[in-house]
Amino acid sequence: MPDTAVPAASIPPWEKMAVTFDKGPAPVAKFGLVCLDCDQVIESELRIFMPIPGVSLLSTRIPLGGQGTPETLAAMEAHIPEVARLILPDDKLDVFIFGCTSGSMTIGPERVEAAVHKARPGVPVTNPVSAAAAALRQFGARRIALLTPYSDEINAVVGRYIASQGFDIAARGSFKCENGVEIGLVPPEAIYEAGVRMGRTDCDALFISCAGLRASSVVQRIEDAIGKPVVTSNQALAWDCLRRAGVEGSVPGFGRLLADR
Amino acid sequence: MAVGGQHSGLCDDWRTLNCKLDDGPAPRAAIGLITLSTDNVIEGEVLSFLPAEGVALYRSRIPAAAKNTPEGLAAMAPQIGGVAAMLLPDDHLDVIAFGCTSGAMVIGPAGVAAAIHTARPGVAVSNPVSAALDGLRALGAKRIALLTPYPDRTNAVVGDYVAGQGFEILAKGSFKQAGGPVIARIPPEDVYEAGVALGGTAGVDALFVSCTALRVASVLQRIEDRIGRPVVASNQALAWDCLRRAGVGDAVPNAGRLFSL
Repeated sequence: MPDTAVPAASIPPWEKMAVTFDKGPAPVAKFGLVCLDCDQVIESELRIFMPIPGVSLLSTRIPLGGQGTPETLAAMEAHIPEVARLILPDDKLDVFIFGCTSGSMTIGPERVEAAVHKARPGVPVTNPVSAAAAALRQFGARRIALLTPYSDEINAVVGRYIASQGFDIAARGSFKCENGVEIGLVPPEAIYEAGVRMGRTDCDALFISCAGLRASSVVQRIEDAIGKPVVTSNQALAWDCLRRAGVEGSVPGFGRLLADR
Repeated sequence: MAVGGQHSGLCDDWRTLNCKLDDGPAPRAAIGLITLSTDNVIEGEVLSFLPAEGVALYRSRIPAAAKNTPEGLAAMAPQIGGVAAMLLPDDHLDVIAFGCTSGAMVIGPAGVAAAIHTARPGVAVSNPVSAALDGLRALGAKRIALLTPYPDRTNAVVGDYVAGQGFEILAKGSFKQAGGPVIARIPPEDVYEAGVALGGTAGVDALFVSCTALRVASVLQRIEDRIGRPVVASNQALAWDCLRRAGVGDAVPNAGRLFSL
């Protein structure tokens, strides 16, 4: 050792600090979330709909690669297992969320679940369209008004899927955004105006489809204005995750789905 | 910009709802965060240091080695670009952060930045160690106490790195645990006790608590109040640095002296 080296005795050693262990940051529930690469909204909206201490939302992204079309949405299926592995791979998740409404309709909820199970056998899986359909059925809603931000091509998939689930579509309206970036830029007030307009048609409930829409701040106001239940993609996801994980308690302020649970 | 005008007639009963787009959910700061697959803590902790309005944290995960050894940490480098590519690929991000303190030391901040820039040329980049050391410098700290949760071999890398950046380490302590899932279960109260013990060392200017998977946010201010010196922690410094790079200078309550600079 050269003479200039610091004598070992003068370097303080690493002291071993006392440590115990608790149940970690998510003693109530851990939810894994796969969101679209372009989604600017779902991560924060889901947290807003689940303001519950001890609940963790762990997210990662899946490549959509540009504009959402039936083809690009379907192509995500092949990526689901590899991204599912990235969320706490050695840990048990209470619910695994595939966070794309139109993608779930295009691929099909059963195939989404099968793809997740390739990487995470046995984990409960949810997606916005299955969650929303369950929520609408809980309200006994048969005639649905639909509000989406999608292109005509995706709207055709969505309309067919909702009808195939046994719902009548009383009215349907769309912002017809050209891509995922635009969907994130639809102002909440525009969702309010459009939601009230669609919800005032001859329907039992309003479904606002798309995890990329900023609906959390206007759900309650739309419900109050139309006097009917409002179900949105992210609100239904939060509701489905909480009930599947056995987390009880009302979440007021975001419509009767979360308030009356 | 407005959407809704391009009605194609493909699905005639879809009403076209026109709306004027706004600045989206993150007009003040859009932050991308590369998260370790095993990290159950960083997302919640970083969010706790960010202002609620106009700031968004977009996450995507990178495969982490089961044990945080220098070799396992170095192996992440080639995957950073692919993960960065999935963070809002067609959208503006103010900054992309690499969310691993020890990994940033092993790979080196320049290596981390270069890897992110392969996918996102020119984007501002942050990592916990550069952010923390910048924070310590901004606080005028030269002689520091160091608290980590890492095993001995990673501690050696951390000690050398911090000393190599011109800081004098007067005290160093570690919980000596390997892997995100175990580190996540270290109770904040243990961090408090260890932080007070090390940070109270005579002659210390500030305490640095290293690791994004360690729960520090709920006790950081209490440690500062007790030792009468600033505390810099990985997730706190990362949030501070990302906000600063995005031009957001908000004071954040109970987030330590760093956020009052």
